[in-house]
Amino acid sequence: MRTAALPDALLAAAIGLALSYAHPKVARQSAMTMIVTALTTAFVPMTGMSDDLAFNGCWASIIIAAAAVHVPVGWLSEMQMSWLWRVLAFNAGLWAGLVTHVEGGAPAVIVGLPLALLFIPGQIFVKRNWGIAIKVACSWLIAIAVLEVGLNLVPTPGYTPDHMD
Amino acid sequence: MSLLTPRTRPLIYTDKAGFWSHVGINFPVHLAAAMVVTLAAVAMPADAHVGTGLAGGFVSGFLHPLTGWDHLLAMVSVGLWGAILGRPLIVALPVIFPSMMVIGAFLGMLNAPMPPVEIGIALSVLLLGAVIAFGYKAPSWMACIIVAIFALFHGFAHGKELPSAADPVGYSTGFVLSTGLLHVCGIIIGLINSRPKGRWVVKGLGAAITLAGCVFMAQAVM
Repeated sequence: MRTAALPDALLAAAIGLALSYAHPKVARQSAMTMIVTALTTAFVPMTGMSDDLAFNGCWASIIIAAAAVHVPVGWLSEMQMSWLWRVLAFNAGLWAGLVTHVEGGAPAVIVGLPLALLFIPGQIFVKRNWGIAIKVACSWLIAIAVLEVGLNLVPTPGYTPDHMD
Repeated sequence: MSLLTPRTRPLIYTDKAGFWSHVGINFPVHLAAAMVVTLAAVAMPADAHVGTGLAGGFVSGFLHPLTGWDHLLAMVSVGLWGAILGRPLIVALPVIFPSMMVIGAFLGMLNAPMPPVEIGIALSVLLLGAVIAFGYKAPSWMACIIVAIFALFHGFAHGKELPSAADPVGYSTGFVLSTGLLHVCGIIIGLINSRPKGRWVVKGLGAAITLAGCVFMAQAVM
């Protein structure tokens, strides 16, 4: 059993946290890009999209968005970084919308998308030199996404008695 | 300082580079002690995972590490030890643990051969408790390796228990997030370590965790 709600929410959270490191104006634009793209993709009629492709694309996008917080300062110019955030946001919106589309659960994307606004508290954290908390949270998102991609490839063993039972 | 006195100093000191210069924090010891006591008072009974039944989705996965003292103490210990060791391990350990736990979960799902997992988990509680109790300042590389190995065991146990009947995606998301939040609890408790009285509270906690680890080890061996 899988639903679009969780990957949508985690992807929105990943891009929201990543945008904590963007310039406030770029962050606002990127978050809007993500939300608009997701809503558009979710409701545009299309055929032939595979469920597995949509979900794996979504998990891969979470990994990429969450990993972006580790881009070293000065590695890219300010202009390049601002475009990186916009492209990541567009990519995130695209996959969030596709997952919702293939699952047919349109409300899921609406519930998860507000998490893209996590950049608002996130930027306060970064300004106060607590940005490390954002990086730790992003590493959890990466761990979750890697696990979910793996779950598609490896059959889960099913519930067995607990290791302490 | 009275609890009602407005705090005039910053909560976390930073150096010129903007890093936490020390885990040292202006945090009232009595308040921290009250938090620890409150957490202990509201803790769930030590059922140690018995009777979890068919595991479900996110909520089930989230609650799983909280309902067994072995996982709970190990996760809190990782955060606590990271806080004692300071930067960069205060960050590195909570990042390494979930990452390695995922690898362990894959090994569990694949039924890969592993040394006895129960002993590994008990050893993790015992050793992490001991290093906290003795305030052992391990080199960064050693702390990372120790935590990574223990994370493999915890991940392996979770991977073996991943449900296929219900919602494995929600379940695994829940247990990774819950694990991370337990690390954060450990870090918060560890913030009192910079105070002389707080140091003794932390050492006492470490000793209690070690004791629990001994009990788990006895259960695992027998």
